[in-house]
Amino acid sequence: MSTFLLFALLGIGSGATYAILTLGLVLIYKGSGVLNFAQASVAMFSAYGYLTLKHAGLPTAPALIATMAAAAAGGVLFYLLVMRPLRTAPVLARVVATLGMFVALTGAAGVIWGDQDQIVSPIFPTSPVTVFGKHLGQDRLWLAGTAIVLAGVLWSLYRFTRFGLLTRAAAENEKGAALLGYSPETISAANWALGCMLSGVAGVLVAPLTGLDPTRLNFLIVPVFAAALVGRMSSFGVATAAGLLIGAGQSLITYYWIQPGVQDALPFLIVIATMALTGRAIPVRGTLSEGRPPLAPASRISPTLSVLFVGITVLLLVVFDRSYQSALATSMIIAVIALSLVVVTGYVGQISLAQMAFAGVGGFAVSKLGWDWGVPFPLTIVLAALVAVPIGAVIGLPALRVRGINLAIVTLGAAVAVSSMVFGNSDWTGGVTGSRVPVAKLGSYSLDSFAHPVRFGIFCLVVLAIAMVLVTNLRRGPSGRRMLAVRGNERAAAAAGINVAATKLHAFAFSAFIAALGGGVLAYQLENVAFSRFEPMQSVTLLIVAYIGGIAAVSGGLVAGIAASGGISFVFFSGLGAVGDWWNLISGAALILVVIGQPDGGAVVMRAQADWVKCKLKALRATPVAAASGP
Amino acid sequence: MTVALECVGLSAGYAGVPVVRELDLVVEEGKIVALLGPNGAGKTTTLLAFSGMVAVLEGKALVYGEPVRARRPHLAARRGLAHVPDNRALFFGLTGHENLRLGFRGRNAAGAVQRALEFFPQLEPALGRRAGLMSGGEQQMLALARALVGQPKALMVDELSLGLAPIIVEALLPTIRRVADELGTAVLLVEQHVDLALSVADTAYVLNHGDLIMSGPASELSVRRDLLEASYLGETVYDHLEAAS
Repeated sequence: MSTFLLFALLGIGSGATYAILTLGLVLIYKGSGVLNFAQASVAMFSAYGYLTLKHAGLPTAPALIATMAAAAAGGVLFYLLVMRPLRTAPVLARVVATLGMFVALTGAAGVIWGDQDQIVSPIFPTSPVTVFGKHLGQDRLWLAGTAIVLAGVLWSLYRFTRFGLLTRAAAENEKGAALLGYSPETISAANWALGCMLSGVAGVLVAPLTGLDPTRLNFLIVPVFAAALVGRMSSFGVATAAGLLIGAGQSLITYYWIQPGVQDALPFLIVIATMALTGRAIPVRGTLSEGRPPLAPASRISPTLSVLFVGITVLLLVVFDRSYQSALATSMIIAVIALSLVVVTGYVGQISLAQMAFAGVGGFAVSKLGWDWGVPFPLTIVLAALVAVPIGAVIGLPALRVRGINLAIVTLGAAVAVSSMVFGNSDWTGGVTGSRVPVAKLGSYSLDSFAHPVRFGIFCLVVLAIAMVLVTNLRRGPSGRRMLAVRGNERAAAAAGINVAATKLHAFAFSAFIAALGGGVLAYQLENVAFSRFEPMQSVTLLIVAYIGGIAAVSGGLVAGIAASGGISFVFFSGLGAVGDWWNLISGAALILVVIGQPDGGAVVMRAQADWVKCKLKALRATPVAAASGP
Repeated sequence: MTVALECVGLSAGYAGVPVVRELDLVVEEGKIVALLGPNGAGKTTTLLAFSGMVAVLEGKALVYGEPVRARRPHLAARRGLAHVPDNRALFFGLTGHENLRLGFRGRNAAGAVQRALEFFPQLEPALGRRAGLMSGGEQQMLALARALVGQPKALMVDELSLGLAPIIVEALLPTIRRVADELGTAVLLVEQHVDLALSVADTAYVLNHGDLIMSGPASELSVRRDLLEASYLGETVYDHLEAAS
């Protein structure tokens, strides 16, 4: 019993930081209706800032205060520059903007402070105290106390002050607040400041427990989301209690369960349970998204363009040197996986952060089928993609009851759970070293990506072409129209006789198929599947490049492939210097600019410009004829 | 009489397309001006232009002689202009009391709330409930009371009668008359019930398709049914009634 309590209390340390992060998240959500995916990234960045100040010789208190002030200022800036222009944008755009900050902060931390693990000295005393006959670092109790006090302060702030009343009012009806003479912008900015400040505190407190590197803290966002959902995105008290309990629960799981990674699944299970209990099959009035979703052009497959595309790709494959050949293959593979996102997020509007998990299923299935069971080459990829179909449908199940930002949370949670429980399980996937994949061979004709890069590139091109034809046909057919109807308005779609549930499941299953197809090819390219390729962070960056390319256009998938890390443009810029480190920062920042300026994405904008040029050319050609027909 | 709201040659609309064209309109303190017209006439757009929620394309929308700033509706409110939109813009999650408290932008709202409630005594028992749980009539009263709590010098009410039983509308319109008479508030009233609106208004303007069709003293308009009907049906009415009479 006392061991049980000891482990529960041990977990309360990280639970307390979940709680503080959750408080900040709920605050921002209440104050501006934005779910900040970068909440934990702000904590990570603040912890680095704090560490830098400490290394510069500042004592603890001033360093902490300076960190909090900087975090608050950063929050206000992000609100004014990014979220305020997106006030009336669809939910997807706003989620993607905070994901952009997530990736940009991660990238910036990598650029500034490097990838090495840093040790942060704790603020609270760690000398042990005796609780129930067991020794326990007293910092855990201090942390829990801090979380509870902060929750109490915020609760009374929102309960008893005019600012709190006003925040609740403006969250519900911005226009109403403005008509009464209050500036909704000021209210939102103040809440962003407070929320990011809390994040800063949480970062400084949690870093000593977990260690500090640019990526690890980011995914604290999953337990934080879980705690916030239990508190229905509004209750500070419940959210704090949930945060503490999740921390304790995770600690207990590590004690009772030998297999690592299970504790990461706990928040996901909580998310699923909460969503299942509180979700609605059809959105309630007033939660329909405002603003126009990204354009989903229904283009035909033009024969000339197809020939051009194939010709240029083959030509490039032949003339390129080895590093570019492999980059081009990577680009094509990422384009395939991005196409899967075009279907589920672009056409049906369901934000999925689990696409790389689907791809991973494809990759590991290829390894299992090909290496362990000796299934011949092209069949492995098809079977692997089919394996992913039911998994996609299962992950799509929550989408029947939750949507928008909540669905993004569920899929992110699923990606984290799959990544740490399945991919991280060395019995199944070979751990860090990865699983072997046999060389791709058609009979005796080798498609080895190392020995025959041109052949392998052409194989990638074939798969990409198949995926493009599939997605184009989907868009132009009745299923595509149903998907767009569901994206536009689920209630209206249901009223028009569309089976909303079936349409969503169809999209998820189809997109899992495409993603696993890409994952399978990726496995053959690397000849070894390591789970690091399919981590949740990769899903986040995939959504980002896909959004930059054009989330609802087939051509957007191609642009995403070109823009992706490891793709052609990446290798090109890497040749110019140490761009690799900057990639996340650049793509995060680019994403934010795209969301604000060109929500349809790069491909659609390029297309519009091409049409404009065509128009001008036509006009030029027409003019001499008109002149000739004159007297 | 002090002019509270005035627009001169006002054109306003959405995405650069004017919905109201070259409108001249004056609302003086203590007077009720009714803005009439069929659907799509541009009545609501006129109110939104005064609040700064719709961009002024040409001309001027003046609140106490000063032009309003586009997209900064809270500034117009701080200048003493209260706007009750057609959806009432209540905070449904907050109680009636909390809604009223937010209507007053200073420290001590109690006195202002008390004075506003004198106009709506039947609202008092409902104030402990959340606004979302109130009846339509109570919500409209709450919206009007909340506007009055801010002690505005000018009040704009959009579609007062929307979704309300006629008997409630008949009770609310005289209350608005009292507000204008007792507090000296300038009132700009958008209304679909022409007869009811003309019964309390001092002056009326009739819009159709964004153009001013006729205007004049409410008492004269209410006896010239033929002109009113013609203007609603889109026929050209030769001139402003003032000139004709």
